[in-house]
Amino acid sequence: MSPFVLSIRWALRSWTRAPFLAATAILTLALGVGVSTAVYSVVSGALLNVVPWSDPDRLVVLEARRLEESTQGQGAAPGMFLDWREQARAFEGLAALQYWRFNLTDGDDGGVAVEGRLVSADSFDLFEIKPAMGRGLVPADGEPGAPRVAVLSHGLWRRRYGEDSSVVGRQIQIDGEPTTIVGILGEEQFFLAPPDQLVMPLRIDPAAASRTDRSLFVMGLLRTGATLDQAQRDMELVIERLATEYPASDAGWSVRVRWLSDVFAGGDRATASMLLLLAAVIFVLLIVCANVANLLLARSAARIKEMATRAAVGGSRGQLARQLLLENALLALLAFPLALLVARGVRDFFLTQVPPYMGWMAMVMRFDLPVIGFAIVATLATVLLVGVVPAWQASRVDLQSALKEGGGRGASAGRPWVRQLLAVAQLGLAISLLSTSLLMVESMRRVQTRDPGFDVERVLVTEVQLPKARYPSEEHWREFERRAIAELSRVQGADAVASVDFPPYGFPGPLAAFEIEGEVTLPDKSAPSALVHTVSTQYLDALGLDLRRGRGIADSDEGSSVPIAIVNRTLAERYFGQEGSLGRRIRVAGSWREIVGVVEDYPNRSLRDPIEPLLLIPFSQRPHPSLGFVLRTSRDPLALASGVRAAMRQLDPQLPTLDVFEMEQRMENQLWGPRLVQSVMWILSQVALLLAAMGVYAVISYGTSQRAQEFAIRAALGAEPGQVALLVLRQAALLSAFGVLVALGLSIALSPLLARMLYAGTGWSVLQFGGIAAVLAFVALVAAGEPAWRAMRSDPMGALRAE
Amino acid sequence: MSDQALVRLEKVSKVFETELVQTYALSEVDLAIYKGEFVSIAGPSGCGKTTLLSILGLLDSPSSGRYLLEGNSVHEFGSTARARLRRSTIGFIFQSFNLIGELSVSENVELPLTYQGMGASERKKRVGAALERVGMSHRASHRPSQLSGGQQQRVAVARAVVGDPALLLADEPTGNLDSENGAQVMELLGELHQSGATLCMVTHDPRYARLAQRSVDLLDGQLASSAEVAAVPSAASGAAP
Ligand SMILES: Nc1ncnc2c1ncn2[C@@H]1O[C@H](COP(=O)(O)OP(=O)(O)OP(=O)(O)O)[C@@H](O)[C@H]1O
Ligand SMILES: [Mg+2]
Repeated sequence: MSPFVLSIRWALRSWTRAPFLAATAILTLALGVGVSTAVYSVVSGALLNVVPWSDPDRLVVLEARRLEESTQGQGAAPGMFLDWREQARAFEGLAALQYWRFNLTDGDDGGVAVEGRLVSADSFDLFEIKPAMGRGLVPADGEPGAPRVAVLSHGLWRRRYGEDSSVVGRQIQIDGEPTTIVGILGEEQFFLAPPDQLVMPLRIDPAAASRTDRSLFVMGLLRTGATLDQAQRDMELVIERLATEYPASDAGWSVRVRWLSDVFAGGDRATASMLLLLAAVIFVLLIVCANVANLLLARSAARIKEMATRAAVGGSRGQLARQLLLENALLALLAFPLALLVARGVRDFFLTQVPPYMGWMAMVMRFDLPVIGFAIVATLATVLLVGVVPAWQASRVDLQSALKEGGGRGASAGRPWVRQLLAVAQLGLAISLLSTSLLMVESMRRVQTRDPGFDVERVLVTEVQLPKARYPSEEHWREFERRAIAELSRVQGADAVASVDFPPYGFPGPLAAFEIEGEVTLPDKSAPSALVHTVSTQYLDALGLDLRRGRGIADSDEGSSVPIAIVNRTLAERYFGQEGSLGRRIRVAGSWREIVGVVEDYPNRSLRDPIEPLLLIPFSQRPHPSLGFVLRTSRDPLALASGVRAAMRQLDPQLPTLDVFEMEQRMENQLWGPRLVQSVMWILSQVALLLAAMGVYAVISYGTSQRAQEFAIRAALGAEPGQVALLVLRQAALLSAFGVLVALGLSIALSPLLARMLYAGTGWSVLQFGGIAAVLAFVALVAAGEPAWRAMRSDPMGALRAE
Repeated sequence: MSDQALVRLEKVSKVFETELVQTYALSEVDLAIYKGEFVSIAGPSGCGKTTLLSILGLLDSPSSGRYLLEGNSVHEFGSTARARLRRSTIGFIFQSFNLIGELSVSENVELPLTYQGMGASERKKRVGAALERVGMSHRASHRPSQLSGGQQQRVAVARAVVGDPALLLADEPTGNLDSENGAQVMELLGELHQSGATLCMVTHDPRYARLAQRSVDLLDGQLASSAEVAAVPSAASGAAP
């Protein structure tokens, strides 16, 4: 038998002699690595997989920001984008993308509404995106008057065309105009994000490009060798020049250049969430390390004699260490398949948390080679890392003392402080995870108890994009809107109906700069800006919004009458303060409007976001082809859904299938991300706590068994049972106290990340502190209870009949 | 006179029940030890010496019979009361020293006083005196593992006497020592007896057994003989030379 095979046999046999310990180590590894792997698949899905391009290290995003307010980054206006692209030096190229909902018609049915992007035509070249079939967009596709072309996602191609490859080159109707399909993306290929189904060229007319409509998402590819800082400085020069050239629109804005990977998954907050989850994963893995290390240390202490004997008969240090490492590798091998099972289970649970319309998450939360690789690396790293110390210790056993200790008095318990340290670290990691997760729960609670602004349970929403081909002019839009409101009002149970271009709890549209009559915007101050929503007369009624001052929109506010606007409370207070806003005039999108009313604030995007300044403008004075309709009812809103669909079909049977949502559902949908993060964090913290409790138990229990002789002596000398038990409990209390200190340190280190993702004002409360203290006391008690009980029953006779 | 006995065992038996057999380690032992006496217990291996001593030391309780310590029926006491008696009335010297490895020499000696709830300065004084007495003051801050066997046993003696116990018990105190160290420890015990301590010691060594005033032989759990070695116990009590 070769020495290696023999070693394996030894390893196997040595574990069968310690089956409980082996099983504990394997289960700990499987649980820890499994959960970590599942979370890693979420994080890598959200952070890494969604950036589909080959050179992510050079991909950046250019975000516009108002100077003095730390609001989220904004998009760029088309006019700005053209100037940036022309003047910036640090980039290989810049690309602009615009979210778009396309109407796709290619047969007799109503067609489908498809989400996608308009992108600058050269971006396929810039980012080296090669579709699986056909071709990508080329610069010529972006020329004015060029034939219309589109690239489809693999998913759309499969669903709509049954993977028929003759589709490439076929002409279909998109937004009512003939368009040729020129390419199909690969199965796991997407342009910017998986929900994008369709990509078409973005055409900007330089002569008529807006500087205030900030609807473009601008990305750049850094020149090879250029740094983020250089790009930032370069953009600052450009911005400075443009601010003097176009003070009205550009002054007071800055640009921040950020890595795409930092921004992508939904901005600062999502990145912070992902980093936090990653940190949590590392914490859990460290706890696993500490646990397994503890088990192995306890075992190697018990095996000092065996190791000494092996050495005494001629085993070299290297051979002994190798033997131990082999034993650990065996553990890893057994734990790995279990870990994969756990990982799958947990990931499937996460996927059930994702709402149906985000079904593509399954695509990015893959269980692919990198994820499995993560599991392998995590398992091996854990086992080898924790195996090295005991192996090293065992290989340098002092033979003489080890063999002599058979005589056995005052046997010192190896290096107990190493194990205690590990237990403290575990507790610290677990408590900081627990406190973080509690803070997230609290933040979510605050978000959910926030006032939604109106009666969301009684409102139904639907949206439609009028195709330009059949609805080419303002007159058509007006006509459609008028008929639609009339038709929808006839739906059984509809109490009030109104139109709005950006219904609440969805994308709220870009912030637009405006001007206040009689006030000069200083060059170094940013122009006032607000969301601008175009709404019909009944809007306040249909949502049940309170008018604080002035009046709502009246039927008399027509295209030909005096232009008016209604502002929300935030806008009134921020820009008009005490003076009052009623009667003041502002200029927005080129025309002066009189403020006639102030409406109560309501969240625009989601309950988690701060309320932005908002301007409501009558649809009649600025018609729009993107129409959302809101219906209020006193019944269950979904009961009206089929009536709404029927009414829309009646209006125009060729309009794409419409989605009808309850407003409450829309509101909830905005929160799925934080909710997922919260539940992932919760699971991690519970696993961490369980593992840490196991770890503390192992340390205290082992220490107690090591001290059995000592406790017996103490009892023989007259210590009462309670006094002996106290020794054990005191140790547990000390471990917990140090654990809290470690947790405090870790929490301070994590707090900047945490602050970025918690809802404003969420902080520590007495209740949470009490809760954590109670949990900790419970954990320590559970972990120390049994050993303390054992110690309490120390038999003084043990002092007489030792060994 | 019998009322003045420090220790009185009446028909004390100890039965160990194991799976199949019952072992009578002690059967119906009657024994009295008087204040100031030095009693040695001898007998072949397995005859029940350690068992007898552990019952005397309240480490174990008899299966039947009565045990009166200073007139109290301690066989009826609960575990807490027995612990209290152990630390206030009894000093135990083990064959295998039984020092606690994690504690220093002086901390080991201090332990019974700590359990008695004595104040720190008083403890310090007593520990110093006890270590002085056994000649181990210069090793006060050492760990037990840094001492020789004989030195460890001297520390154990200091720990046994530090609380000024009424009864000093020693189970083969020289069993793990070479003859020279053994002699030193025995000399120490002799001195303790001279200064008035009541001693009960198990030993195989006839040389040491002769140091005692009275020698008790155990055979199969029964008291075989009780030979007066020296003067009558009552004469010895309180009469230090
Ligand atoms: N815990 C126990 N369970 C069962 N039997 C026991 C137990 N302790 C002692 N015995 C038995 O009781 C008897 C007396 O034991 P004891 O230890 O008192 O003997 P000893 O006289 O001290 O022997 P030695 O001189 O070898 O120390 C022995 O037969 C022993 O096997
Ligand atoms: Mg014995």
